[in-house]
Amino acid sequence: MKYWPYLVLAAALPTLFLIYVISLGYTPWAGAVISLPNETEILLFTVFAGLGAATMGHFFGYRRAERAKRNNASKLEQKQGQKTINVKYVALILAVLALFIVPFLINPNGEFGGTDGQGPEAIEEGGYEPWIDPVAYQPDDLGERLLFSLQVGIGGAILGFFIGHERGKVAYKRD
Amino acid sequence: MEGYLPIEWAIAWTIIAFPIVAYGVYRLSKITKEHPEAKPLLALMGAFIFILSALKLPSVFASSSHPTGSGLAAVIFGPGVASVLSMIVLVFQALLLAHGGLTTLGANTLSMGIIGPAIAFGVWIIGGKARLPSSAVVFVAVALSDFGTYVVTAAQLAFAVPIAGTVFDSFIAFGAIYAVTQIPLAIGEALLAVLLFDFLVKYKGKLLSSMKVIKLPSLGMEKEVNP
Repeated sequence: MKYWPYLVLAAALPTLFLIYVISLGYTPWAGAVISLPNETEILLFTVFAGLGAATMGHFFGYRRAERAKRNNASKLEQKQGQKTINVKYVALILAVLALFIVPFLINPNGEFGGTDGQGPEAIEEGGYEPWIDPVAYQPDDLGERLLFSLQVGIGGAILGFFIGHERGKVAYKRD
Repeated sequence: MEGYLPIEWAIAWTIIAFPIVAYGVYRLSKITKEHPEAKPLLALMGAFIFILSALKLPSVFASSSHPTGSGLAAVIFGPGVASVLSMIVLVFQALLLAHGGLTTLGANTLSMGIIGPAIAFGVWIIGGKARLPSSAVVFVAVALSDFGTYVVTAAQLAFAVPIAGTVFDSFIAFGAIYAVTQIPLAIGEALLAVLLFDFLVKYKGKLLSSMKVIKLPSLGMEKEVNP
């Protein structure tokens, strides 16, 4: 297996994330350089977490499948699997990215308030008061971001492991 | 949303959701018994819901919302299992993220875990009967499931808290908040679901056909990659 794509990602993702967190002003070393709408900030946190966790998951899944295969096949018989890039996958990923980047281009100064906040606001405007206060743990701003990231991270790790494991099984398939 | 749903509605939705989740648990144990090799797939579906329901995605209307992710689980495992997986995610979010809430758990499980997946499953069955290409059916099923979830949310709120006088006017008002924002997100979720479904057909085709999710020859599937 090739290690360099993982090494590149393992270096690039934390670096970018660190730059992101510092420029938002969460660290004592520097003030906030950029300011993003609340929801956008959360989205980028979770995207970093998801990509990082999926990369790690993919690495371990791939390596695990490959090692299991290696025990069954001698080195000479091992054959590198298909190397082609699936055009359909690339097109779908690009379409999804475009779908969620275009909103920022249309509304560069948009608030992007979450519907999960707008709903309760609309209810309170009607004069309704919640009858119970949340009993569960209430995270602060940074805590909320980290917990959302944790959720995406758990999912991303499982997804990455699964995909890596399946791809690893095929990569060293005996013909 | 903790406390925004009046208590009688919170109880009512919980009572309605409970038997279906119980049925889901029964289906879950049956599937894991009949197809033990489907467990990683189950974890994958849970992970898909975990990821998508935590992403706050922007919409072209300068607002943002969460996709649900439960539509694909319904296509593969049926709506019962999707309801269990959704409820696990909703409990996680309610307890750790103060998102959603325990009083709204029943209502949220009903919209995201039961009616949304039921729509997806229905579309999937009809599309399969009509012998349409599976990717296209998954796209429509997941998009409608995601959109339907938020239509149901708007309806639930309109019944419980009629902010605009009548229930119908309130439904339009809540729909303007929830459902309209959701349209591009539903399309995005559907594209991701097609991506993952294609991957699964390619790498797990045998398992999916043994679970009777797909029929290998009739859907014109590529040759099994993974013997």
